Amino acid sequence: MNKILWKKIHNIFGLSSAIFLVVLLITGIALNHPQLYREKRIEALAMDPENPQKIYSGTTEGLFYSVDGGKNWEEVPMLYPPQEVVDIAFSPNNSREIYVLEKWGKIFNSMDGGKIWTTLNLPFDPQSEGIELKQISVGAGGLALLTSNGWIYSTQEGKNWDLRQFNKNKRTLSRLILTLHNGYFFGPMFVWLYDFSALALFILIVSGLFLWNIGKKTG
Amino acid sequence: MKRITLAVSLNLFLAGVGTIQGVPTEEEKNYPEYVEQVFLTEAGALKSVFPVTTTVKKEIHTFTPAEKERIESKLGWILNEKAVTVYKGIGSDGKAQGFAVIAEEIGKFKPITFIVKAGMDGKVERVEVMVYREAVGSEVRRQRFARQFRGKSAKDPLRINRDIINVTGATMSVQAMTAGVKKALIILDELYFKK
Repeated sequence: MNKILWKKIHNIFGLSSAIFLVVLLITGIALNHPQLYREKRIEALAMDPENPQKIYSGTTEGLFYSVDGGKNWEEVPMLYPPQEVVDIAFSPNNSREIYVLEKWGKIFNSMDGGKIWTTLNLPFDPQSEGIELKQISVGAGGLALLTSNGWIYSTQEGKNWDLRQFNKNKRTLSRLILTLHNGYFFGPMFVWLYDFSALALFILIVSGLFLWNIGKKTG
Repeated sequence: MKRITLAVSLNLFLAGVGTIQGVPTEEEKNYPEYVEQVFLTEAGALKSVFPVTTTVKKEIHTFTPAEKERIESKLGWILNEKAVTVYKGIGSDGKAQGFAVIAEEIGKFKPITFIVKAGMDGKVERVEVMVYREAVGSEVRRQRFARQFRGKSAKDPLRINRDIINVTGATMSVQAMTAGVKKALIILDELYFKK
């Protein structure tokens, strides 16, 4: 009796673990490849200080604008459009001066109300150095940029930056844990190795359940 | 065998720690700073885009302030170039066969030099990479990628992943090439086709 009970408990625990592992594996692969399912999400919103009908929205797919209070939206046309916009700011002195922040890229700037754009120079390469751009603040004659590695400051329209509050080599424990978890710790190619291992484990679980079922039938 | 596995694992772990801590790995140390791959010279590129043309006329056009303003407005971007060199292909019958522009756009760190040829209808007929200077991403020189621009005109938006399919691992080069082709088409449209 005890043996049968223990076997049943073992089976329930085994099945629960298998389901848990399958969920873990699938969500793990999905997290490593967000481009496969990611929807357009608004990350930033800014209204023209002089025209309440004109609104800019920064999304995971780029920069969009509306001239009718948000009823209709169009992508802001530019030669190098931003990929993932996280912040938009208007100058307090001049509403035609707009700054747009790309998460892993550049600061885009327009001085004529969003018709012609250019980029400002940064003292680092966010993408290759893994520095996330988070927020931009525009003051009278100054720019402050918050990043994952501290903040930088410029009074010369981004031509020169004050780096006293910035540490290029800062690496947080959470980032270390995250990269160990997703495989990026060992390099980008290891993400695929992790995914392959996850799929192998998934096949192992499914085939294990299948064999268990056959064993149950044949006794 | 166990020792080898252990050594490999340890090396990978240390490489990972190096990456996280900002210490350059062996790959980074050995990464070539400047790799120039010349695929076509100016003469070769012109021969490739004008294969049956009798003569190729070179025209250097300096932008007027009004042209610069119109081009910038269409690009949505500042035009840093003060002039453009346009190659005009002329057939044996004396008729123009199209225009070509040799463009240069920054990829990740270095400029990519390429030629864009448009027919008399303002549509792209051929794009060829002439010089590639980055260590990675040279897949953009393959016609499998460059062919995507064929038939595109100044009116086409040329959006990456919608109109132009990206090349994995060469995103910056794809962005640069796409922007360069768009710029060349808008300049040609402004200077020749609109008239």
